[in-house]
Amino acid sequence: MARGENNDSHGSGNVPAAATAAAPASAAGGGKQAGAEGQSVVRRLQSELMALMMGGDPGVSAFPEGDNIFQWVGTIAGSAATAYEGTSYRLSLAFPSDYPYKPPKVRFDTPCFHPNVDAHGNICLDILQDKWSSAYDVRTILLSIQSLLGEPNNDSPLNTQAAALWANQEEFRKMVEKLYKPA
Amino acid sequence: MDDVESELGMVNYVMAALAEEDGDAAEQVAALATLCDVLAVAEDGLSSVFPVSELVAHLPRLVATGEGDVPVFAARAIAEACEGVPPWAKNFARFGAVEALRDRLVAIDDIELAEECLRALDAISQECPVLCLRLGVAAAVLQFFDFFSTSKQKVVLRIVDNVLNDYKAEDAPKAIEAAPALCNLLQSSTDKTILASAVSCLEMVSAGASGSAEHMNMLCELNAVDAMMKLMENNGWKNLSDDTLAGIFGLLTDLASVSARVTESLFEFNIFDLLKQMITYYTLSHRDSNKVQMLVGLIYHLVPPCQNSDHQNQLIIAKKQVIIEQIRYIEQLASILTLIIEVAKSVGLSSICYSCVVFIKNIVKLTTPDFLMELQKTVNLSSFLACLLARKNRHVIFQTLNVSKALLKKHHQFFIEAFIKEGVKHAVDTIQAREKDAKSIHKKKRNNNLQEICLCFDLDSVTSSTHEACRIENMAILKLAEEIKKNFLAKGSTRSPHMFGCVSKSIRYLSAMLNGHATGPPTENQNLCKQSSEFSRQLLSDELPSTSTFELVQSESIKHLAGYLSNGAYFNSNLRNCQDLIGQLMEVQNRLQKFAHLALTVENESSEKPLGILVDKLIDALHTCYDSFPVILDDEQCTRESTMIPLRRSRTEESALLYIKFSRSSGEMGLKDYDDVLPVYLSSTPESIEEDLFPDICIRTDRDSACKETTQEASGSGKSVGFRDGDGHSHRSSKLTLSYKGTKLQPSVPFFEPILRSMHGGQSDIQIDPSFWDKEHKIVYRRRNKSKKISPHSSYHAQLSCMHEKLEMSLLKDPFFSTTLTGKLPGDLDESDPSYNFLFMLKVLEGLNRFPYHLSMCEKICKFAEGYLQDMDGLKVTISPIPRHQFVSNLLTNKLELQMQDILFGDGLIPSWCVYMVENCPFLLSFEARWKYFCLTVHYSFMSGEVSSPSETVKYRVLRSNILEDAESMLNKHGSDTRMIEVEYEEEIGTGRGPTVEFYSTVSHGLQRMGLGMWRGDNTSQEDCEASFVHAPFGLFPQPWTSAKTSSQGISFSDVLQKFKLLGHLVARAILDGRVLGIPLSKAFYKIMLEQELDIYDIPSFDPTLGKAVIEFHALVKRKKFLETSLERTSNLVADLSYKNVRLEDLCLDFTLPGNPEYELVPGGSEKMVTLDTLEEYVSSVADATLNSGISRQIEAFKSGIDEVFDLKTLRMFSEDEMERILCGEQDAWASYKLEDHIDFDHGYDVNSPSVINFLEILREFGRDDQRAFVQFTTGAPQLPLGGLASLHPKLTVVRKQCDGKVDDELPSVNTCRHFIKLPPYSSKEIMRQKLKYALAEGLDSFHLS
Repeated sequence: MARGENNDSHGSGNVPAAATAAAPASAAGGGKQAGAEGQSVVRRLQSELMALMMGGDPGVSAFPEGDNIFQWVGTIAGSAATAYEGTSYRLSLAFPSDYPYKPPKVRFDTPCFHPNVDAHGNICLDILQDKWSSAYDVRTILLSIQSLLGEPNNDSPLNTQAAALWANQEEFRKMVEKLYKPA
Repeated sequence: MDDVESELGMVNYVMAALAEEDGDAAEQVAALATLCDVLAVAEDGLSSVFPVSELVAHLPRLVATGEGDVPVFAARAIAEACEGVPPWAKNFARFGAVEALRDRLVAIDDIELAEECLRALDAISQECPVLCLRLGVAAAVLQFFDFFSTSKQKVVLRIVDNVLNDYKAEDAPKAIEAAPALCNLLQSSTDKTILASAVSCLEMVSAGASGSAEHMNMLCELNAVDAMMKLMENNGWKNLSDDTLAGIFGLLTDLASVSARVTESLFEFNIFDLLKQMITYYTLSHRDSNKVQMLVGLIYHLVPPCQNSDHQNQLIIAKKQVIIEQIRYIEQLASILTLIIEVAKSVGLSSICYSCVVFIKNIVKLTTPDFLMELQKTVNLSSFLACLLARKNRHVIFQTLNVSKALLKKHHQFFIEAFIKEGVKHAVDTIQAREKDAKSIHKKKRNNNLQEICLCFDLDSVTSSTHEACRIENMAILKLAEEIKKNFLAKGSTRSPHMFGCVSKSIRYLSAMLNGHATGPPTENQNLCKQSSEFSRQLLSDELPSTSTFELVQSESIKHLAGYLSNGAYFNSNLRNCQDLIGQLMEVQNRLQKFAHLALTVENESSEKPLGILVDKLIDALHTCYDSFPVILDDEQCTRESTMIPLRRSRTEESALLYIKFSRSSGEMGLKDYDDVLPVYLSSTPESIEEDLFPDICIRTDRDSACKETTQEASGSGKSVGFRDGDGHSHRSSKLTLSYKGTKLQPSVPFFEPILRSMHGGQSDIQIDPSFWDKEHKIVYRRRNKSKKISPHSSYHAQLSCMHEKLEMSLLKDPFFSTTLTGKLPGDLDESDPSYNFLFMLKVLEGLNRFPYHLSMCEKICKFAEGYLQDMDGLKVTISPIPRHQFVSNLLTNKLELQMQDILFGDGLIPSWCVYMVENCPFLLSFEARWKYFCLTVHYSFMSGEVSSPSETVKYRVLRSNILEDAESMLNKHGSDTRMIEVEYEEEIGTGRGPTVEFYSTVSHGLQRMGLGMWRGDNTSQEDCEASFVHAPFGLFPQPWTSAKTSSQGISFSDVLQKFKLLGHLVARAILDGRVLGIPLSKAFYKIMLEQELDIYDIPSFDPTLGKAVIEFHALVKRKKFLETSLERTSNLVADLSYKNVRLEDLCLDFTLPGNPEYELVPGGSEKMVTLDTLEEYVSSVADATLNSGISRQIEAFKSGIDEVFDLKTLRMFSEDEMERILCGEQDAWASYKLEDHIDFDHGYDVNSPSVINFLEILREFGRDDQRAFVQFTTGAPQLPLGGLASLHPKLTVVRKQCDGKVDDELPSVNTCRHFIKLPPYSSKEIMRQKLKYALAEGLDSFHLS
């Protein structure tokens, strides 16, 4: 294993990667992942958090959940003039270690009656699957979900009952209200 | 001695007892019983003193007249006697034993007696078959066949076999007597061996009786045909043994050749349907030329021959009558004709081709002009004729000319047009000219007889004993060609100024234009570029489909296209030295991109891709070069069992040797004489022999300097190692020039080839003459001229290989690209050979077809960089390749198969074209043929290292709980063992195949565990801790490890390397021992295994999201570069260079590997941010870490594992998909019977809905590729998690699709989020299958990036 020894000597010359990664991450309060997760992701999420707080988009907001910067809680308000007007939904966002190359896992915490949301809160939205791009961020995700509420994709429904009911907006509104359980 | 004495005494006593005419039965029985005992142990010593004469006199009498148990014992005694001393049988027969036994048998009053009679007759019939036949034994033993047990039935058939073997024609009536019973047997018996022997007996009956039509008619009346057809219907023929099949067809052929009635009843049985199935089977999936020959033989006899020899006249008229009267018979003929034409075109044996052509000729003569014109619409008869006329075989040419003549006679106007278009006329002209030349040469040199094997009598089953002369005289072909020209072609060409001229001209014009434009300065003039691409489009889409292969070749379009794609290098060898290599390279790449786009785009839905059409035509054109690929066969008899290739080969027999006498060239003073005759292996080449030869002939002072030279050369050639031009040999410059009969020998071509070629006077297919092995072949050697040491070519290659290191795109390093760039096929191929053009073009097109994604993406990125494409979402690939099987040449595959069937193939009787094709153009050969080649060559070299019995196995015990470690130590120890490895588990009872098979799949599953650090996707531990296996939806690919660390998260890197070595061992052993692994490796990993380069465009195939981002970044870099260099500098560079409207800095990327922050791409990378200026570095280092430096040590370990077992290079002849097929087997991605357990049905469906039942059936019938496509369609990724459908979460659910319009017009759709498949309730299963297949195919096109 001559090769292995080589690497050892090589490695000692450098600052171990984990040590450098740990410092800023713990400083940011993400202590749990300090060793395992990259500061790149941490840095990115922090900058997104700043942008969200500064941007002041109406009806969407998000914050890290507790100490873990990889786990966020988001809120969307139903847009005016839709069946969801006046409601507010909580969502959970879980970021993978290769974010932003991979999309976060997003689901509704608040039960949501919607053609593209299933009983467990899973969302069927292309930008969260195969149409994901590193250029998207939390803000764009939340805005996309917000607009999805008002403009569902009834062609590939997860909730067929909701899809069938969509045509009748009044009834639909009633169902939304009936199943709406604010946190 | 005492024993013999006492036994003799006993015998004498017995004899006495037997001699009494009416002795006491009980006493006789006792005496006989004693006799039997004595005879049973009779030794040779006894036979000489035995009172034979008495014995043979008494026993038959006792059989005939004895009472009670007497005949039983008498019969047994005869049997014992004849079995012990076979010559006695004749004596018994002389005393009426046969009659006695026969009568007793037929009387059948006692089963025991009957059985004894059988036994006795069995023995006697071996010795005196003729007598037995005349006495009607055959019919007699068959009479009560059903009464006997199976084992006795076999004895019966053995007797019949003995009796009928080679009987004389005058005994035919007696032989026929046995036929009815045999026919009954065919219908009633189910036992395979009984069927086989019954068939072979019947065949013997007919073989003997074939001289007499009367007897044959009798045979026909016995329903033999019915019985045999019943046996074969419903794929029954697949279950029959080879011998039985051969028997049945021999019989049918015999019958059909003499009887019109049989012909009719065969037509009535729709024999051609059956024949079609069988021929398709034996030509495409199980290439077996013997079987095809046999089938074609029968077909020939079903259609009356056209040459009217007198004695058969009536029969022919009768047959004609049969066929002409029924329209459906004619239709049957039409359908088989199409197939036969295919066979004739692609078969590797001239004899089969000849039979096919003769059959076609007969049909042409038999049918009406309308029928033939109709036929020309479905099969291109004329192109077929042109193809055959290009061959050398005189028999084939002669008959093909006959067909042409017959066609012209039938409908002159119609066929003359087709003939001109497809080149038949041209071919006839060529033949005429050639024959004329031959004639004039013939006059000068008398002794020029061609050694072609005569095929004239192949088809006549009734071979006359006298050797008739070949029917094709020396001048026959010339005469025929002249006749055709004079009578038909001359008239035609003047009368109809056919469009050929103008079509050909327009193609020539277009392709020349294309080239003309190309030679002008590229890209300088936008307009010019557009024009030339317009030309190419016109050429490909409008002209190509309506162009005949002949026109394509004749107009030189292929050459022009080759010239265009290679940017002139194809025409001009000087260009290969041009200094502007980079410019040349860019231009060629550019042209390939454009061409790929045009050739793979479909004009409208119904049309085929132009590339597909072009490849078809090229393959067709290649098939006209039949004689460029000669098959060389040793003696006909020793062919290998065709379909079965053993995984292990025993090397017991001696290798074939060739005797060569090396002698010094007369003028050569620098070398000594070589006196001995040197026996060399068949596989020896001038290159390989030089090492042995040179030291013996060089003059001593010479040697030292020679040695020095060698070392110098070795170091000098080291540079070109990086350049892979496909052929494995590095060009060592040799010191000797060898020649045979004045022709210089090529260093890499085995000796046997030029020698045989000159022995057989320029024929293409060669049957080795026995004298070849006995003769000494004289080869002359002299020193090589050293004048041109460094060829310009090699310096060019050195230049190229230097540049390769700098190139990033794998496309540019592929052998196909080098071929295009240099305008020359690798190796020393004869460029004047007619096949060269076609091979070159096919090689280029095949490469292009492998890289459509690369080419197209490159083009799109360029467009984006130059601003023609604004939106990054436009970076999509819309073209898809044509299926690889379109590149397979049936002719070459058949020829290789034929060559491999020769028993000497393993010893090295491999013509050099086979090696060349396998190494450089493997795509022309079918996968099965290459796999066979691999088995025969690699396993052979594997075996040659050590002599061990092939049946031996190594047994090894492993502990199930410690399987990976145990597997490691076992394979380290036995990895390169020549024997099969078998595995047993500690504390488990099972042994043999079962546990071994399970071992391979268990270990390969073990290597997919989470936490081994081997694969991408293994580091997401905190999320799905419950998943214990790595799930790679796009296949497994190694995870990069930074060289800065030796362990991470408790995994030591040296362990990872060991695991990869284990995987290498496992893969190699699985290939060698024919085991199957359950490991879903990615396509990219297979590429690595096949030593292909990877680049940034390969990333999407195993990690689509990362790949997409990296390619988009790459495009951004290109755009930035373009803007910086372009003259009009845009003011707002930064705004133009945002990443989808986001500032690149806002992505907050640093120089660590995505998803693996411990992996720093540059020292201190976690502190270095990615900006517009560092983006290029970032992209290339991410790609490098992912594909190269991060995984190179793992790959090395993996490859070393394989290399320890066999040479990794030998795998290069396979494609990624084929490697997967070899390693993972053909079995299902899911276990069929469990399908319904793992699929839910909802929203209007349940398990019992008719649509669901159909759906499940269709899924079960899917092959591997369809299954893969289905998984891709429904889940969005081609690989299911380990455990298959069962572990899919959420469960696959089939729901009913609500359809507004017509149900059968709808397509199924999916929701990949939830694994829903929405299936319309189609009206039938067939429609559902069609729609599903369509949806799957559409879905696949969008595979790479969506």
